[in-house]
Amino acid sequence: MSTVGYQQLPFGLSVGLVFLLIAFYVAILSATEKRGTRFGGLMAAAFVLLSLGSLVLSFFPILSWRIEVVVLLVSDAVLILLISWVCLAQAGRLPRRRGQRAQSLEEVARRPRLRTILSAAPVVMFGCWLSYGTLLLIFPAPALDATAQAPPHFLLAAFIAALPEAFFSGLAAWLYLRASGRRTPTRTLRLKNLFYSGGTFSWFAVVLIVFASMNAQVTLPDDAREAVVNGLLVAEEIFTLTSLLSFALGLTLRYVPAVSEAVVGRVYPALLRLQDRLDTLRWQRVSGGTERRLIKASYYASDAAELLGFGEEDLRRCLTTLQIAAIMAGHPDQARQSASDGITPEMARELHRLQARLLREEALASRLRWPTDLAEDQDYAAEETVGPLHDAVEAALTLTSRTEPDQVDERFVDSLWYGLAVAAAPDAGVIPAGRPDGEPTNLAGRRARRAYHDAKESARQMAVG
Amino acid sequence: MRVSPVRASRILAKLGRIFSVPEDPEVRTTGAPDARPVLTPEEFQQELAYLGLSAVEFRPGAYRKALEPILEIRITARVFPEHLKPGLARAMAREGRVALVSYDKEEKAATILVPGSLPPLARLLALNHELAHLASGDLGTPRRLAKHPSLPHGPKCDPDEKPCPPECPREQEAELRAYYMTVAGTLGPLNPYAERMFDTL
Repeated sequence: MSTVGYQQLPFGLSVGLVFLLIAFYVAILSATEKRGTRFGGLMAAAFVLLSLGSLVLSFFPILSWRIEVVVLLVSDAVLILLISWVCLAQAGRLPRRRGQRAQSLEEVARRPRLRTILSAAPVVMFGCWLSYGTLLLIFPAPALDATAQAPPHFLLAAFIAALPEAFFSGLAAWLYLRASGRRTPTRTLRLKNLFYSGGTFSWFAVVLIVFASMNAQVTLPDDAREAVVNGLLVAEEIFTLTSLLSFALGLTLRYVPAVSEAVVGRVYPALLRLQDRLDTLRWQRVSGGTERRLIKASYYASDAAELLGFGEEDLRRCLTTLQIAAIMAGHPDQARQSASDGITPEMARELHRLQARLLREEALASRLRWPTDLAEDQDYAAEETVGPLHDAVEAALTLTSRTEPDQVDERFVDSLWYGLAVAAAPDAGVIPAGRPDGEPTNLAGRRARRAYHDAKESARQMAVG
Repeated sequence: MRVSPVRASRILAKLGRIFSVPEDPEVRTTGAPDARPVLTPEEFQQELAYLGLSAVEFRPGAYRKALEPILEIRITARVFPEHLKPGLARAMAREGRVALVSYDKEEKAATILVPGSLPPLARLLALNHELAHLASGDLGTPRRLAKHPSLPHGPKCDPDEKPCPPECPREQEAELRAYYMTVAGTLGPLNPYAERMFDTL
């Protein structure tokens, strides 16, 4: 990027530009202080530096071509730094603030070779910068005065400078354009990436304009050169301003994830771990055939549920309550019962707490469901949700804590499924047999107990018959 | 001087590592000798993006289909009803195995068996767990999806005789991967790790 455009500006405009950019710098910093990287501050600082540079140039004209080359190299280094920063951010190579780990753009993750190419951007561009810088320092040329005639080797320097910068800025612009497409989850993110694409495309345009300007210095005669270069300088300033505004808009657009990383990264996996352990233990005890009392009690309860006429979900609540309570209470038939083999009441309470925590997340609660059928050609026709298990865990905790009937949660008091679980509990070994537990005082409990005894009696008669 | 594409790729890869993010000194490791960091949600999301499953809801079948061409094998997953194979289900339950996986090197085919009587979430996690082993390259497939090599078994492991204990590094990583898979598959576009792949600055 050349600073020739700024050198031509009237003094007052330069000063105004400096103050504007300082204010912009402060605004960007305050808006981006919580952003993932420090790009906002870097870009604002870069533009302030360039504006200060043009201000200095307007006071102190440059007397030798070598100093012009040095100024050109400094301003080009700033552009290379910005392009490199963007490429490394797209490759997921930049450290992020707030303890987050870097991630590449989704498009880059799908194509691993792109990540290698983007990661090499700083080395390639600074390598070329050193090359053409060395060439111009040994054989200086009018690097800042775009209307002056330049020697032929200036074209070679222009080519070495422009090629990698155009390639990487163009690549970055294309990647951000892809990231603003339909695959992007939210509208805000699409808009951000669209602005970033506009910003990096503007850099691409500036590089091409500077190359064209340097080309004109070598190839065009004096009259034509001045007209062409002046037009190119105006275009360069427009694209420079466009890049500044595009990135400012993109950086200040804020989006808030629908579900926080803390919930997704810690709470949800913790729930999965505990629920998986509980479900696996339930399955092992029942399918393994070792919990004979529990299996028998479950059969009687299923028959009783049919007599009572309640649905699949309530039956699942009842049987799950019995199974969890049996695991927590331990069973005299178990040869080995240790904390590593079972679920303690503390673990069950933790599971219940995690379930309640996730069910409070509005965006997440509706997605806490798992297919009951894993056949691949079917849609999610039947799913199990967290709700019934949440009720069952609480009910099992109530059962095993020997809660007095008048202290049971009112949601359970009039529930037939809970009443049935209480009726079946002694046979499942949850409450020791023979403990005087008395007739339930509520209607649902009495109905459930009667249905359970009828189902048990009927099964005995069939066995005898 | 002509440079072959393979050599150029290696040179670029080495240059790329110069600018790689330094390892977080507090990152968790497996604790084993020559320990490497355990799989992070960000790394898993990168894998999903490579499979084309980032920011979308997916089931194990979709993950399996996306994994097959990467590993260059065929993967079959079967959920068998308990009433068809009651003896097998009972034996698995008594041994503490919730799924069986085998890999035939000659046929380049992997088979996963899961009992249908498992509760839905346990069944889903069991299937994802075995797919995670395949993705990590634990079964000796021609290729693997994971960036890092497979972790070793723990000192108390005897995978041919009995299930590995929970502290086995290989099982720990498979479990992590299964959880991430389940979370990402149910959340789809709401997954913040997927969203962050579109917000790099």
